[in-house]
Amino acid sequence: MIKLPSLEFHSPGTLEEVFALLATHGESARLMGGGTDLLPRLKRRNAECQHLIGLRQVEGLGEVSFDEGTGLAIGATALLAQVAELPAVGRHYPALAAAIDRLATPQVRNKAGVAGNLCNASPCADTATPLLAYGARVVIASAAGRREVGLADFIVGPGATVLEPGEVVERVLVPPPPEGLRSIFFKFSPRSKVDIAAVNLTLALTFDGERVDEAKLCLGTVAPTPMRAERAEGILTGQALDAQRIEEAAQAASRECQPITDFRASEEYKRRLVYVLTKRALETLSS
Amino acid sequence: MQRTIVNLTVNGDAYCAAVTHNATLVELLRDELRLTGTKAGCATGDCGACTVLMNGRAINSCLTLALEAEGAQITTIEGIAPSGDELHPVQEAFVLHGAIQCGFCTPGMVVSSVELLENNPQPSEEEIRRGLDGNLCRCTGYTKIVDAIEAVTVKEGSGR
Repeated sequence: MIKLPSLEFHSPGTLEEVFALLATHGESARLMGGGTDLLPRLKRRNAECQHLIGLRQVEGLGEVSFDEGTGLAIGATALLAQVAELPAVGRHYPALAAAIDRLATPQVRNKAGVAGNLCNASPCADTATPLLAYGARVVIASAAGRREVGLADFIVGPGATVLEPGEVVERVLVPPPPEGLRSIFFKFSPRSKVDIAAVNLTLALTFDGERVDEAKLCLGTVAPTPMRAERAEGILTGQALDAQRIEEAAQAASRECQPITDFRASEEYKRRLVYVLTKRALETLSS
Repeated sequence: MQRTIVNLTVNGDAYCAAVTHNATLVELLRDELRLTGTKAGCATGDCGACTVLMNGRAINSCLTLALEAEGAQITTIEGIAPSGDELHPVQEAFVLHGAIQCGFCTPGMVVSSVELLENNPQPSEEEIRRGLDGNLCRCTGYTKIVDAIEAVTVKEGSGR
């Protein structure tokens, strides 16, 4: 049985207490939401911290709500399961619902949250590509006040975010879906859905009649951060989705991603997956 | 090492324990409260042997600090049966279908199955298998486990 290293656990009840703890303990402190990623890393001695600041008891961070005018608000400590259980998520943000459904195990979804998934800043974070496609923004709080950062600018590299010392993600905001938005999430992993993705992908399209009005194609695990496939999006915008257009966009996406070979799949295989999944997503949303 | 008091309810009984900050919930349950039905397997949230219900949701007690359970309602395998004389329908089905080989994964499997059926009383075979995604049986005896859960749904369904 691998034990956790010796540490001091803090369970603040307000954000002000969190800021004070961060100010006191500085770099020896880590913030924890569900801990499903951090605790195994601490046990394996792949991460270090002397002060663990649990956010679950912080007032007002545990809620998920949807409003037709303002969209979806996901509190930093709301469980993945809570997000998936909200009927509006399945109705208005199906790619997010699908991504959560395929993320890890029921036990992890009952403990982990969206904010933690984003703060880990893994290139393969399952909730990142749908949230990127839906235009999510991250609300960051600190003793100095609040700021909002678009998700595309929030994750800056593997394991790295724009969070400064003393800052905490308070909630993730997702704007209401535009009229007629169609979206889909795909994830491929060589073993099973429990495994981390070899490639994950969200496609979101709005149409003007037969033609694509706006296209967002977001790819995970094939670059240092979850990325938009902008060349493929450009090929789709303003066009009708015929077989040739779909083929061109899928090829463009496969060329513009930057996967690396790892133990899940080779670079070549990941490019092929991006091609196949983009094509499949386009065919599904155009039919 | 510093100890802090945690107050929690386990299987309906109120407990108060002084725990070290790095103690996980499974360590509290097994080592302090002597509720050894919950198994400690991989310690990293992969195998599900340590699954318990926290406020009604199945979680990995190896990925939960004991101090995170402050004020929580915990149900372990010892609290699944309605009394000392009768088994929960899921437990009964596991016995009837021989859904047990070495038995190490069984407490976690039963707890996960109970949560699954509470959320979805009539799951399809696919939904049962997905509901057990977080529980590994290293004897690979999955077929009989799925059969057992299906039998519970059929039985409960016909009784309605």
